[in-house]
Amino acid sequence: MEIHFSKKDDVTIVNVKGRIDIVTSNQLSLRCGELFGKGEYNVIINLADVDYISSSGLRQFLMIGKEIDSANGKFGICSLNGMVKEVFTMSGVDSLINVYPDEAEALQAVSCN
Amino acid sequence: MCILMKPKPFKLFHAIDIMKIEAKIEPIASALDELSIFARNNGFSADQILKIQLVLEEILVNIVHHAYQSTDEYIELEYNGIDDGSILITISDRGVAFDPLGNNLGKLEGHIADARVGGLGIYLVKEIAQDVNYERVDGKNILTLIIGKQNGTDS
Repeated sequence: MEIHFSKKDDVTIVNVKGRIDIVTSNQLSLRCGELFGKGEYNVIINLADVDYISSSGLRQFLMIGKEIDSANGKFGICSLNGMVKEVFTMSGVDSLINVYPDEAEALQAVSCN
Repeated sequence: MCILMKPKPFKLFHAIDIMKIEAKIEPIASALDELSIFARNNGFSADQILKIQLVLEEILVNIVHHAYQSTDEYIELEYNGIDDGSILITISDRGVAFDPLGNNLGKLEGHIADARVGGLGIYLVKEIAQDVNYERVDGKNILTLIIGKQNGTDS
């Protein structure tokens, strides 16, 4: 799994590529922890290039969401495809975290500008 | 999804694939690869294969975390094709008695601050699999799962 950050105004976009499974998923929390350490709590995670997620990945999204919520930040996930979209819906995680069809819509919702 | 109380007399047309992995996280990937090849050869689509991988990952992670006190142990896997096109997966281990289906946690709802972060894996397994059954036989945990081509929310 690869994780790259990009920044648009006050929002950090986390681009993830690959599989989010039992082996890779903790990378997500570790890398987002770097953002929180810098006080960056407006975050979008773009999953356009992710084709697989298991419950270990969902757990990471919930923990990240909880941390951003407790810091009064804004959090969104965008561009879910296929199986990943289905697993978010099946688990109900999409009712707890804001999910957007694409990055532009996510930015509109998460950015304070 | 329904939970079988007794094994059904399935007609197997491909009693093909049997493998054994160490009860550790690292070898799980090889079990998923093997199952993917088996599922592809049995006509499952790429998207269906990803959901089968999810089911197997969740079960194997559960066994590694709960059934074994040490990692010097093995998990046996058997993949069979059933005559209706589904796949029957049998997973057995000699760890402590552990029924992963005992967890009845459901779909998440409410506010993120109050949400639990555990128990989703087995919930997803129950959602995706057509049938799932646990038995303790002769010191073994034996889990059988049947997964059809119409699995999960599209079934």
